[in-house]
Amino acid sequence: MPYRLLKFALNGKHTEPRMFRAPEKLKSHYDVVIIGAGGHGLAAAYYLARDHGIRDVAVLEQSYIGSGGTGRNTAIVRSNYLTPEGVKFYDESVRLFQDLSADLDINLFYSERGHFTLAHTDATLRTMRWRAEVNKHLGVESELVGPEFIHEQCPHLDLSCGGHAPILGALFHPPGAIARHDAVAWGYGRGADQRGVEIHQQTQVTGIQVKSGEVVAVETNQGLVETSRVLSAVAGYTPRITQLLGIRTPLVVHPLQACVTEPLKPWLNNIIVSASLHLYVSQSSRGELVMGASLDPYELHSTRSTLDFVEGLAGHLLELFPFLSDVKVLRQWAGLSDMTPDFSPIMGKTEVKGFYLDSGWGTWGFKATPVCGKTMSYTIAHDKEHELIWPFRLSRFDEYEQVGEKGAASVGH
Amino acid sequence: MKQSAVGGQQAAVSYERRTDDDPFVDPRLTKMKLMPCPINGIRPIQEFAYGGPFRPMPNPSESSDKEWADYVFHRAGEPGIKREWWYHIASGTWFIAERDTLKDEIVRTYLYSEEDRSL
Repeated sequence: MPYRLLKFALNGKHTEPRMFRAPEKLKSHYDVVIIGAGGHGLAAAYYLARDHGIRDVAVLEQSYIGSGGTGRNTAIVRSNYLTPEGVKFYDESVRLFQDLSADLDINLFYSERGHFTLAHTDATLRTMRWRAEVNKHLGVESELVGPEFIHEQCPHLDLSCGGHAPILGALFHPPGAIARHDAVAWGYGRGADQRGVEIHQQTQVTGIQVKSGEVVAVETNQGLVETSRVLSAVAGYTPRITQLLGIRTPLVVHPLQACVTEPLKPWLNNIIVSASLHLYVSQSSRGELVMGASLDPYELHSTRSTLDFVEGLAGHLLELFPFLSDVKVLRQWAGLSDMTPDFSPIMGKTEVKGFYLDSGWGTWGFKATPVCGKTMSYTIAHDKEHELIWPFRLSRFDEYEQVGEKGAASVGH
Repeated sequence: MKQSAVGGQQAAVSYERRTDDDPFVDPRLTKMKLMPCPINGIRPIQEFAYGGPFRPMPNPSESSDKEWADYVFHRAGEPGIKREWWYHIASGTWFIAERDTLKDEIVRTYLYSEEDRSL
């Protein structure tokens, strides 16, 4: 250990300020209680305090900040979706992301890479042409490109895919980006904290009290908190919260696994996705290849990793980039994905007055972090769904008005 | 493991985990590496496909739009011991497994019988 570091540790004067205050005890009342201190919950707290002047807010986290999906995703940001509702929503998020580092005064390593979704079949090409047209109509940079262009942009890619699934074209989305996901949560958390929001880690919600159809209090393992407005922003844990209130949802939780390789010199500029091969890959600013695949095949509320997953993923990666055969996998992990049947989120008001849902984030939650904060804070402040999230309301299922986004899921789940 | 005849056709082997700390349970069974098939016995998990939760269907002609939407879309998403359809791909056997979706452990497996319809 360097002498300077030792001296610094022992002298007790640590000049570097903490990112957050550590509030000691929960107060007995808050205007708004947010369950979940991930990116979504903290972003909602930040915009509530900044844009709506609601600062008496507690964010309750059963573990630590960003410990759920926020720190487990593969950090891809894009807006080339299929439905007009989805494209508008995610495009607003991309726009917010583009100047978020300056807004939060933290380096998010936001890096625009260009996003390729590869097509190995005519059917995929057809969906991509459809997506490109919807995207262009709504002002999103997105186009169908041929193998020559892909080769020019990413010369390392084996376009024949080992001979059995040749690449016919791709949907190219220049604004597709990656970012440092933890920093998004920390930045929003610090911004909220500076505006008076209290972040309580190690605080688990054990019950929600309702009187004549309205939320009146939240029970936690640190005591009871009175409040009339509660936001659930817990993604993979949503069914456990809605169960407390008896709210029925279509959410089913599946693990989604990911892994990173050892760091390599920078060689992969783009984000490469292949739905047919169940693979998405990008190179982080540290040089690691960050990879994900499709969901685990059955419902499970556990973040265990499997060898099946990493073997399958490595096999498919080698079909695209055969020269990576001696690169080692550094670590693998899993996150909980709360999947919806139409691959769109579930956001907004519920049958219980004062209980708001920000859920159904399946495999597409990270990219939506800023816009969720914006729209959910608006929804809580006005008790009325923001127009961008109205199509994603829970009651769409009872009304048979789903927003079918499956064609744009980055990997065919 | 106990032997029983189901529907008078096939000798089926239903599996039931005895206690939580049963020392005779193969640890690969509790980690979902192996699955006890009622017809073929204990086989690798790769031979099986998940068929979704076991759910009784309401009568379509008698249920309201809302009840039907509830059946079509909504699920019991919280963790717990769930009754599920599983399929042994190699032999084409559909059967029911009771699985703990928090711990990822099989509690029981057995063939579907008419009594299950009412459950």
